[in-house]
Amino acid sequence: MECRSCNWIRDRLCALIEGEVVGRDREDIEEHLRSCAECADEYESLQRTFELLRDDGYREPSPFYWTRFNARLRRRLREETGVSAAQRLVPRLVPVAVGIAFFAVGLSLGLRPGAQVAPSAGQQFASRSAAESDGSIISARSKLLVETGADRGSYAFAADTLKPDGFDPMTEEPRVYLAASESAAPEWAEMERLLRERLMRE
Amino acid sequence: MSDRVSAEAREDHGRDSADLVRRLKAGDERAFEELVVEYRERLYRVAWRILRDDEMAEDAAQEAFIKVYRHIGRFQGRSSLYTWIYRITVNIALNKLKRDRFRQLLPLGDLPRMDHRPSADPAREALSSEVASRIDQAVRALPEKQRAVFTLKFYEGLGHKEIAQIVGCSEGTSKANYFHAIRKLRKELEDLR
Repeated sequence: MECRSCNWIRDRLCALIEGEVVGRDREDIEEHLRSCAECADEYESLQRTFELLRDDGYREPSPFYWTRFNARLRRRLREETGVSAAQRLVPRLVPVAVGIAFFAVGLSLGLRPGAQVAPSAGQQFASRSAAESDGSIISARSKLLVETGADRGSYAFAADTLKPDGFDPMTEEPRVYLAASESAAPEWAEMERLLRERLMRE
Repeated sequence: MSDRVSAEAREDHGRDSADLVRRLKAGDERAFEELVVEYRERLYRVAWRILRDDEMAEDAAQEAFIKVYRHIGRFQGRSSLYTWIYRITVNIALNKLKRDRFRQLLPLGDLPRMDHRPSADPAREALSSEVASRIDQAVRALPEKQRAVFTLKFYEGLGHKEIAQIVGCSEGTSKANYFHAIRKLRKELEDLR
């Protein structure tokens, strides 16, 4: 047996307790502990500390806790990423198609000269949709439309235009949002400008 | 034989993780839910042991999931998925610890914990609670990095190589931190032994 120093032995006592010392090293340490009272005391003391530390007061939460944990996480995700679970499930091409359809409807209804805007309907729809989307990425634009009294078609256009281009669930929301609002949907800026002009006139 | 089995199991787990990452990157909602179910208990437990507080641990674990959700696109696969997720969680917990350092002065042992099952043996629970309270104080007295390394090694059973990746230090530093943490805890708990 190789003669090991007490320091060498003590440096490995934790690993010994945790079963990480094997083979010849283990035999050397065990042999040393049988003949060195000081190292043996150190070993026993460490063993006792390990035993004490095992129950540190942590208790696994109940299964009910995880249900609430998930619910709170979903809420935080919506609030902090601006994305609702439902939106993330919607295939991206579907909103594009819907957006185009609503754009056509929005132009024909909302921007037709002389047509009446319907602020109350818009506000009702927005509040309902806002509750559904819970602060989603569409809300900033949509609020503007609601404030300016846009109708349901225009609101839907905003939502569906911004979603496919503006939403990437794996990147930061503001950057994506700006990209969408500034460049990806130029027709939207034109629509907004027309709405503002019309409101000014009215 | 057992080594062979565990190697195969690791390989399977690696394939599962790679598939999960691929689906997460593609924006698969179900993949994210699978990730949460797979990791929530481990992340909460690690965060709790660093922070020693239910509310802060939940906050840290949730913040970690939100970060994973936002930044999965940046995950290059240089480390395993769980190392990456652990690293995010430990960083969040350590940052919270820095920000809320004053909380360490508060004795939280008396505060009720959320949703924990009642003990079948109240006398044993009381004794255990007293010991736990002393451990709580002793762990709170550890420097932040030692606390993280101690948690990952002692309670999570990770190796120093993985811990080094998670905490962002060398393997030698991880070993030294663990060694010093154990020594300090032993000294603090000496009269209980």
